[in-house]
Amino acid sequence: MTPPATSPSCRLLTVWFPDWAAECLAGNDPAIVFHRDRVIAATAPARAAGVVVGQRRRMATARCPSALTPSRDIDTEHRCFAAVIDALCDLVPGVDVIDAGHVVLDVKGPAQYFGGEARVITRLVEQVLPGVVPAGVSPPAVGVGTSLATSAVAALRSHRAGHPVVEPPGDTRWRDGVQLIELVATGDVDADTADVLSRVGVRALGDVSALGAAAMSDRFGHIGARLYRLSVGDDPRRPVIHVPADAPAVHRSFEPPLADTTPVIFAAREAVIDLLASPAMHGRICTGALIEFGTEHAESNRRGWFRNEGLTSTALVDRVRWQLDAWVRRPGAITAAITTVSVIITDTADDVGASQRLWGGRGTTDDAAQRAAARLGALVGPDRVTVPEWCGGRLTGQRFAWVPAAAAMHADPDLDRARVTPGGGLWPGAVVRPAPNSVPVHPVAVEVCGADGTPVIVGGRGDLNTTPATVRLAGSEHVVVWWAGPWPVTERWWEPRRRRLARLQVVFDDGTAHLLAVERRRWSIVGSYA
Amino acid sequence: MGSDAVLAALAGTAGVGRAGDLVAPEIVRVPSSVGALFPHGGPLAGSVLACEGPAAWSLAAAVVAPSVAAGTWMLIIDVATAHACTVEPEALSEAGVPLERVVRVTADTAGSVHVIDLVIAGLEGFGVVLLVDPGSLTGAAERRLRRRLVDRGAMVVVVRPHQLGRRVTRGAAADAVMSTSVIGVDGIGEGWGRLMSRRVMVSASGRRMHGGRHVEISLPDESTGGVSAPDTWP
Repeated sequence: MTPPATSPSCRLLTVWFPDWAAECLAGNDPAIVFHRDRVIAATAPARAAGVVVGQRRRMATARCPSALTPSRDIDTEHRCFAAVIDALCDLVPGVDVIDAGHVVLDVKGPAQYFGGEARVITRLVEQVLPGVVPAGVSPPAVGVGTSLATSAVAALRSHRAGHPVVEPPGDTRWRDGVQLIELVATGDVDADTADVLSRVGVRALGDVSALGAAAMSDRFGHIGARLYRLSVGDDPRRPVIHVPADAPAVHRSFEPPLADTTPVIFAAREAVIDLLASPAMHGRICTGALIEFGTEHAESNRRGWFRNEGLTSTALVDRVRWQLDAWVRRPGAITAAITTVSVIITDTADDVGASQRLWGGRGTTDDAAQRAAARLGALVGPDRVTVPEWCGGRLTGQRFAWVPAAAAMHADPDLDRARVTPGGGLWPGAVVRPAPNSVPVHPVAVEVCGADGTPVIVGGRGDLNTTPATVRLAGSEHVVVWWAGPWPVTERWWEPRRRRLARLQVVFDDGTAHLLAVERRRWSIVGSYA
Repeated sequence: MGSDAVLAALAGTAGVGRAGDLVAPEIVRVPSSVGALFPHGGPLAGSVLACEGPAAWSLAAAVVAPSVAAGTWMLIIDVATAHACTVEPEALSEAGVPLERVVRVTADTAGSVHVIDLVIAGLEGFGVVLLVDPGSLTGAAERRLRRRLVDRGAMVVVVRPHQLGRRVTRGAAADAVMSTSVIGVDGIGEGWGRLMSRRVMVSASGRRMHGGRHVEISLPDESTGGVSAPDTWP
């Protein structure tokens, strides 16, 4: 499915309540909501005391000691926000819900109907929203743009300016002035990419468009290509009112109709899992979806959902639940049992993986692992946190070494792969696979004896004086059931520190298998097949 | 059905159930032969598995290999190093574990840092934690571990290797305990051949595994396609 590009005449209006997570819970009381010990929302009294988004928990609570710190409750946020969505849906036909407190709607039609975008904004801010927004919630930021990205940036600027911000239609200068750091705040560009671009002097969309499509695509891959499209106003994402004809979709009908939301959600869950696993979604992730319910009285509820990061099956079922919950709770909205549920994927994106970065370098999972390794190093000492490194050799335990991670882990996955890739030619005489998977830190001395108790000796020609029958270890005796070898090896025969030893595989009667080595007539366990 | 009754019924059920309860549980990728031991076809994300017996290491490597091969990082917390053995990277590689995503930390049981703190710190960045012979965990420590595991959707595999001359300690309660017993070996005889694989009976018991389950598998499993140094037998 190829999403249609945004037309130049597209006009999208973003309504954003920046502190919805806190204000819908606490209203006029000072309250701060944290995520991972960082402020994500605060009520007006808390903000007045100096609390800002992104602040650390310690700093925020010091600034406003009397503030409540409720846990984030996404269900409640969406339940409270349902009334706002319903009110907006009454005004305009296409509303995309990005998150609780954040919607985008196609304003072109309503602007023609009401006589201009300014009148639509005025109607929204002064008439529609005050009636449905809970007490204590600050007025929303309102921005209008020609694409989802610029509309979100306009809303961001509106939040700072305190009044609606509108991108002038047909004026590319406004779009050219959009800073990449603003796109980071709206989630359209990741911070690392913006940082890299800013260091080479690309700080605004105007700089991106000046570089050209080929240069951006060649140097920055799909991220560059996408940024260039944004810079020329060609945002492929559109509100769900424009459902592509070939959009992947699933429909479930209920006979008899269901008067209970739980089986509806279950059915939607099955449908969503099937939908996301369908061949049409191969290699792509769902970023926009339209969910629709119908009743036996021909009532319907239709809502679009959008998420830049992608909608997984869990996220989609969450949205089914929120939408159904809000519809059922709305007085007079539903008078009969539910007969249908449909999920239509309206927008997709390439599944480049959350972990992939510029030039295919280290991703988020790699970075997280490196940070965790550093943290472990701080706890136990850097020398105790190790990674494997190929050294080569014939003897078990020598072919790979555990080296300190702080020195050996690279920022480049290719180098890490090279670190563990066997190379440097063949090692005749090395133990063939499978290798013992457990190696004693220090070889464990044992006695290998024949059936009559005679110590087993490996002769100069690599032959045994008797068949191995028992292995004595720390006072216990193990019966050898199967054995193979010996395999002699001489290392560095040309040097004074040469070694000559032989190896023997044995399987004991308890099923354990070991690799023994004899050197100077002393046997030891050098590896175990555990 | 009357409208009022429908409304009442629908309103009464509004808000019930969370997506987490409704969506199929996330299953950790394991070899199909091992997956047959589990009711869902594999262990659930956020669970603790234990591998015991004479093929504990081989089984643990086979269990974690698909996840690490799919991009997850693995942390090995080696508590037993001071007095026993250490894991051989080559064997992990042969089992299909990409070594470039493996980190090992050796824990000192006499040190001030509890092994559970290492596990919890590791879960911040590693999706699979291989815990070697951790000994016993207190109830509080285990609860902390479980909370974090569920949050992260990670998997902890406790390896309790069979060691000569040492008793195996009982550690944290696992969601599934997979006990191994060797029922045969391939490739080796009385003075000939070489050990190629072992036929292992794996018995699983634990939560939602009433009556226990058994499966016979070959370890190492050649189908995993692990990468190793070229075969150069003498």
